[in-house]
Amino acid sequence: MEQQTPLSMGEVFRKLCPEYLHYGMTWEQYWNGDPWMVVAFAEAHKLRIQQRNEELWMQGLYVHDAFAVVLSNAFAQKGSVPKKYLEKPLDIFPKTEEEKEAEEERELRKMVKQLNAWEKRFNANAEDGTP
Amino acid sequence: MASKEVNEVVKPIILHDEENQRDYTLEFDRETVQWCEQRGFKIEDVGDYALTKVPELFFYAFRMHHKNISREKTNRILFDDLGGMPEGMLERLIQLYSVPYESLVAAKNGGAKNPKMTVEF
Repeated sequence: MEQQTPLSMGEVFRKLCPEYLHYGMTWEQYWNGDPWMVVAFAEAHKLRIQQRNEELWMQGLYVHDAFAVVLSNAFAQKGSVPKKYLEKPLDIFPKTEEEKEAEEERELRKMVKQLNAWEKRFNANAEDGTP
Repeated sequence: MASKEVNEVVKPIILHDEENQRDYTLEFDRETVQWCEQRGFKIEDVGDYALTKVPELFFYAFRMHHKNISREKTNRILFDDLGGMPEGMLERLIQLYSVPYESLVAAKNGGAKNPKMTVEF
């Protein structure tokens, strides 16, 4: 079998040049810039691929949700509450402390409101004598 | 004996010419390494043919920042002004020559340093 001769440095540079131009490096940056720039460009390229992958995954999630709503409403029993598509996009960033506190406050108010309504109903039923 | 990681940034060599009050920065980019190879230069020959290849490497190291400097001038700097290659300079020049290639290898490996790979001088 014919043995391949190892590539010279110049040949490696020429071979990899289109790849780094594709990553967004300019000709000058690749040939005349700081040689270590390629590490950052390769890393940035990986992040872009990862971001694209996550975007596609999320798109699939939204499409799945949309289909689920449509099918659920199409085959729902008469009189049942129709399902709604998400009112706002999914939160993809971690919540700040203030946002967490505000959400807890909202949840607490909702619970108090429900308890008050339940108490009101209970008292009304007690007055009527119904269990 | 100094030991350093391959991916550690190798600083360029800076020569200061007192007479002309001029600084010379010696380092290599990819274009320069390719240019050297196109002239038949092989870094592995430096050890075997030191008398001719060391001054050649020294001359090439100027090209990135001082394109128009002549071989006569770099020979004068090396032999007359410096009185030969100062200790450690040849190792540094070889390291600098390798940086454009090593950085591509590091980029392929995710930029991670390989703790098993060290160079000693």
